Amino acid sequence: MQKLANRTAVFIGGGSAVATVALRHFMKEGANVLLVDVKDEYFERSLPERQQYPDRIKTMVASCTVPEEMAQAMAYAKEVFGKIDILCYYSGFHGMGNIMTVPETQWNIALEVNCFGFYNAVRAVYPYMKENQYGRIMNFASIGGRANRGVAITYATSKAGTIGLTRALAMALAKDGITINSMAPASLDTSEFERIAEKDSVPMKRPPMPPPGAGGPGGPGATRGGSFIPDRPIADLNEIAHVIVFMCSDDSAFLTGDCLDINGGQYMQP
Amino acid sequence: MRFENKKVVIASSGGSIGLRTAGLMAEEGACVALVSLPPEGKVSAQLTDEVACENIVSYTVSDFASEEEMEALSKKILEKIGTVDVIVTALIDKAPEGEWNEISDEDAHKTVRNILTGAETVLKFFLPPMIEKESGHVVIVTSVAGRTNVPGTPWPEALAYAGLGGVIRNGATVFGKNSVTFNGVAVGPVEGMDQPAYITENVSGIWGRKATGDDVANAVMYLSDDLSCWNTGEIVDLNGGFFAL
Amino acid sequence: MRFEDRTVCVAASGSDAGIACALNYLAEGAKVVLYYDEPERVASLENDRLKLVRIQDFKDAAELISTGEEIAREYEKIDVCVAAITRPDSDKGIDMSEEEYQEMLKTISSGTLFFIQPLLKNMMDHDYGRVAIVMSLAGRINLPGVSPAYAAANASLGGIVRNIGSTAGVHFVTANAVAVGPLSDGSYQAGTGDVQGIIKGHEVGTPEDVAKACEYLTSELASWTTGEILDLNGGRFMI
Repeated sequence: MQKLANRTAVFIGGGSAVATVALRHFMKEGANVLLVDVKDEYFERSLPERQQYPDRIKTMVASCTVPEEMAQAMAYAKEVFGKIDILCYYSGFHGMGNIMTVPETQWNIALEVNCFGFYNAVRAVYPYMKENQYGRIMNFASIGGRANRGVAITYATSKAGTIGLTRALAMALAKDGITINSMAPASLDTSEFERIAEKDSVPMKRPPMPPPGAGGPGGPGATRGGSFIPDRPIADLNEIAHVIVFMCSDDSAFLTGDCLDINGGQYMQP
Repeated sequence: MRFENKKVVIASSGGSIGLRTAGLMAEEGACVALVSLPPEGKVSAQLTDEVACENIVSYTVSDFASEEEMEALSKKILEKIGTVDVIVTALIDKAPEGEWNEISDEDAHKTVRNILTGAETVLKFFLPPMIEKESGHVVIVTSVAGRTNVPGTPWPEALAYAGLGGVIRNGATVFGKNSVTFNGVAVGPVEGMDQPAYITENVSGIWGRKATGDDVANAVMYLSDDLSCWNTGEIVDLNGGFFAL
Repeated sequence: MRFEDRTVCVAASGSDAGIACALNYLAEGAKVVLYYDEPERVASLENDRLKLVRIQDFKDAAELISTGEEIAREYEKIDVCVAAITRPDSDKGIDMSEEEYQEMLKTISSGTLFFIQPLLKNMMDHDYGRVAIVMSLAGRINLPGVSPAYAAANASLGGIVRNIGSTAGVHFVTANAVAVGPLSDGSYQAGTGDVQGIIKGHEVGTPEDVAKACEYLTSELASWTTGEILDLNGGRFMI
């Protein structure tokens, strides 16, 4: 039995690598999906799926940082698919710098995309979920917000902030039968896709991070990975999709305000 | 004298946490720069210990998140005290009451700016001397509302206080190699703080009383002590037993 | 049929949660071995792929170990192991007798451990395994009216999960837990305070909710989730 049969999902940041693989699972489980992202270029990643399911996948260009555009995206989903059951928020921004070097602009953009953008999307979808007294909302956060990671301060702060935001919104929307949870993955294997630079990001001048386990910013003892599952230091995007399907289906009806860790054992919250 | 000759910078919203931390540390020999939101008169009126008073210099700032203002102030303070051994941030703010989707974008941004961006900006300008001399302690006061679900928490506050957790952990991870520790104290209701109703009414501990400014100051001092150099990235939950993880 | 060709062992005691798990795995095509000690709970269960195993006493480590070794021999490859072993809390709190205290720890903590132990060994030998443990919210966070022994026993299950996650990961075995508030069948009580959820129309968790959470954690694709506790409490407690 399909877990998302007859459900409609809106994917904000639907052009991301994670969303593109999750889309395959959503198709298999019977859902309709509206992909929303800031530029058309992102939708090339899901061309095969869109060709296979032309009536079940639609796309739209809109920005999570503009409340009116979020409202338009939700209205479009309702128009095309008749209702909205699920909101998946994949939009993210890494930013740059540590506490001392972070440019103010990058700090603000990270908060806008990772925190206020999520709020904008939830506020826009709320009337459609309230009308059916049903909703599943997934916020894609990161271990960077949960545990000790040598990531940019913009990322650590805004991802931690968005996890707190998720809890507050979960409390507020429970009375309408809407569950909201976040997930906090560690590093992901996005090698299937070509990298597209994040909008407003600053090109990196220093070499990329060393592979997990090899140490990095933060001293000789600091780790940047080190799962307990051998031979594979990072997550496969199908594993990530599995978590998302659970969070968006009827199976997780009693789960709200939780942050699901998925990190191969790199961080085990007591 | 636990903090003899230690240079301490405290960024405070003006409540008892900042005041009592300044007072108790000054009594232990620290040289304190207490930066508060106006009015300054209110701050100095509450410092009654004469000895401690000599060790505390008060400053006011209108916007902790203003890089311009913080840069100028930090230069002024550092000229006077030379270096920094301890930084404490105790910034709170109240989001407007009302339905979650009726808080204006402007108000929401203001709350996040005052609590979260403010703390980051203070650290940006006072951290460099610590990194340079490779020692120091940062203590960030946050709220239990950033740690777990407190019924009635306005979402901008949950966002900001949880975000401070990210600053603590990231600071600890990145600057551990410079021997600078980053820790936090997550508080519930505290006497002498202008806190919103959802904290004072919904966070009840097991003591039947609120925390005092001294309770919080003592936790801050524990984390700022040189003997606490193996504590880092930790958040002490100081809420009288409401939330114990 | 998401668990076709998988062999799942479930231990059910003190709650219908384990029964719901067993039924869910059967519906998804698995072979299920169900350990039970309360005949009334399994009276109506019947299925070609279901083997019922009567346990005299979940506090008896020797019984659990020898039973597990026998089951492992019979089925050859165990894929999934779910422990839903619990008992009611006592209202005696810190005045609990030594005997009651032992009862509590030996059932919940040791019972879970020794149920898993022989099966874990089989999983590690095969380089594949999924372990899920059902525990009470009372082991996660402070709740009024909970006895120290109940809190301790349930908290220990979190420790077990993190430990197995860390040590057995090298054999591609994951271990996770589902921490629940009181369930609709009266099991997993969690003190005297308000521990209901806040989701309108679904304020109390059901054994089926637990079954679905365990299904999620023990799926093949859940290979990157380990040492985690899923807080399934309808929004009563969020971290």
